[in-house]
Amino acid sequence: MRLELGRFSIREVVLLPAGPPRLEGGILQVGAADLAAAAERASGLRGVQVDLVRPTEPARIIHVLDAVQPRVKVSGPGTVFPGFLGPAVTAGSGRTHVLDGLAVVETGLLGIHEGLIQTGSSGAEWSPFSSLFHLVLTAPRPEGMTDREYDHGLRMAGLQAAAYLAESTRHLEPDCTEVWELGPADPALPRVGYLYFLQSQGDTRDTFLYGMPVRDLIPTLLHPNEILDGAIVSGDYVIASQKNPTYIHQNNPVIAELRARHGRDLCFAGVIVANEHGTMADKVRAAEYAAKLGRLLNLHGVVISKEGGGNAYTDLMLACTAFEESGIRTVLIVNELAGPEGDLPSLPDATRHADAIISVGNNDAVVPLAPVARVVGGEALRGIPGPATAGFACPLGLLYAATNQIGWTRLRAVEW
Amino acid sequence: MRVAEPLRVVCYVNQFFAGIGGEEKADTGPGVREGPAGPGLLLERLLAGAGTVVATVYCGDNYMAGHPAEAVAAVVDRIAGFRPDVVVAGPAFNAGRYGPACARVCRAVQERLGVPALTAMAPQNPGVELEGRGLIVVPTGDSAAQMGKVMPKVAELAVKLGRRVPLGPPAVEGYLPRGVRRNEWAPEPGARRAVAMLLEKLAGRPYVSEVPLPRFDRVPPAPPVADVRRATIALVTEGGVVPRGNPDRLEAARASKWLKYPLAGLADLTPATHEVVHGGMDRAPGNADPDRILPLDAMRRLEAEGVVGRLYGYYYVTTGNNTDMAAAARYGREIAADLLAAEVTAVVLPST
Repeated sequence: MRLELGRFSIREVVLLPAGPPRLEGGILQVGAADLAAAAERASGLRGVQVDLVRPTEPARIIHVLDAVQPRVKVSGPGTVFPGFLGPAVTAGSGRTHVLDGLAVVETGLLGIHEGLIQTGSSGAEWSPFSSLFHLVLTAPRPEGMTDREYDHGLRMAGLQAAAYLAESTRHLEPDCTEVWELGPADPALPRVGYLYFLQSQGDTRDTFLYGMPVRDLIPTLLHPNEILDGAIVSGDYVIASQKNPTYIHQNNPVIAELRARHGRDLCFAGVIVANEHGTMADKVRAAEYAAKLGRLLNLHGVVISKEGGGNAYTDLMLACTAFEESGIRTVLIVNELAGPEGDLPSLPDATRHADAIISVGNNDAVVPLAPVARVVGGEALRGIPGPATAGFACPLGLLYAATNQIGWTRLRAVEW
Repeated sequence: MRVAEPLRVVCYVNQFFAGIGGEEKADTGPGVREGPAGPGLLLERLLAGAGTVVATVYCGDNYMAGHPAEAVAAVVDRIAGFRPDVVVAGPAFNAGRYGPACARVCRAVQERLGVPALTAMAPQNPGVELEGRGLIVVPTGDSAAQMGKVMPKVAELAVKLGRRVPLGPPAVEGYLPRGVRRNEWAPEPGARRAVAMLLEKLAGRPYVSEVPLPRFDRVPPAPPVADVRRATIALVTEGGVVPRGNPDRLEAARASKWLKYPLAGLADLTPATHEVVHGGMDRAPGNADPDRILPLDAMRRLEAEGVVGRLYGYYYVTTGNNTDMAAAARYGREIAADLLAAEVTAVVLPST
């Protein structure tokens, strides 16, 4: 499978009342009305509001549900976000264009946790997306719409907006092009795989593979290229900091790192996707089945990532045991629940096989957020009294994707 | 530039290092020597003018062990009189009474006098595990013969603490990690570090895991219920089932409390009377029928059929979603005490 990823760097975004998106010299012009119309199509939503937040302005985006990177398929089979914007044809070949430096952010009152992105002020360092331009979509919930319908509508709006923005690049020459193709590697190199846990445990807690929620997924294989075209889409509204948004699925850093080292110090032998299930029996099945796939791939080692907290550590530890007992060495990526003082046990579950763990930080650490000039996405913070623009201290848990467990950021916890 | 005033250092040692005697003098009560004694002599030399050991306070190891509160108080009173900038206790190496004594003195000096303190002992000294939490402890070997190796580091940290210079991480500064996790920025993103660590592991090269594994208690189970047909059974849940409206504001995550609600006269939980607030799962099935989280309907059936003696008239609830483990353990103890007082025989604890 071969994909050419043409990348376009955005250094400025201008939001106008109307007009199709236009990219020239790194400046993206966006017409709010046209973007809203593209987002609303087939979403069941009306009155989608579009706001621009620039990385340097002191602002806060609240009620964040998902972040999506604009991409569009310019040649090859299918569309981006197969199963949502087009048929579920295998993604990851042909040519896809990417707008770098911009995220479409869907906001809404779904799920129960506040999730926010802070920009241009103290506290922005905890938001992995704070260096991006944000086009924020906010849509009122139509009368009588269920949670599930509203969720679906917001998701369609975000994906359609992302694809629509990337259309501006269809006939342009990229700033740079990456070729994603895993050629043969020296058989003496270690065969390394990636166990990519997705979380799908019910409405507003789903992850989608080619448009299908993976609630009943038996672990299966994925080619690394498939994520580049949005084969994995997030609808999992968990505690904000441990969220894996669509943006990070599209840019999965474990896949990027394994691809970069393929043929050099390892053979990137494959990606196994598995679900984090809600029952113990299902967790055991997934762990065992995934390890079997690892054996069929003749893996020497595997990196394992997860989403969410709590019960999902058990999926991780069961998988760690199953792989290690198969003779496949593991490294896990986890965040920690060590309490606000950092003095509680980091992990609620363990196995003696988990001797190689990467930390992405303690969720419970309290961080100060500076006051901001503007709030986008809502009027008031959930569960936090006072004006939504105020400065306050909060657990890292509220900062969107701050401790995501695919290892996007450089944050970690260390022993003191 | 003005040279800083030399720091006022007070040392705490046991009867042996104070020069009073060996094991036979371990019952010696608290006392004071002006100036340095024992390790304090080497310490003062190593401080090289940055500090002066103004006094040495001592206590016999047996006296300390036998009168822990009183002896520590007396020692701290004497230390206070010398207005120290920093207190150095030990080194205790692997001495099993001396180590805990040093740790208790350090903690009391910090808490009562607000003066920084440090000690030194072997990592396996019971003083570390039992009393050392949160203290600065320089690791040593087992034997006092290594005094010369340890004291330079003790002196260096004493000066930093005395001057209120914030210390760096344990690995850099040379003190024992205190079991506290603190966030920092690594040079590389987690994903890159993960692949690098895996390659080290596969090549058989050394690597250091970034997260310690928790140590779990082994809890012996209670003996089986002798006769369930005569038993009083209580329902306890972390599923966040509360009266509709959540009158006591139970949290959706990180519960700060547990609650107790009546079941008298109820055969069945419905959305009219109860709701589910637990935020770590899809609440729709539980909200449609709260019995599916707290099985009141099933328990009433068992009661009616005589399978159980009776269902206790109250249920207990908290939210088990990212809830602090130490707090959860405390809720368990408190609920258990309440259950014992009510002579409940056994508990059904459905999990989410």
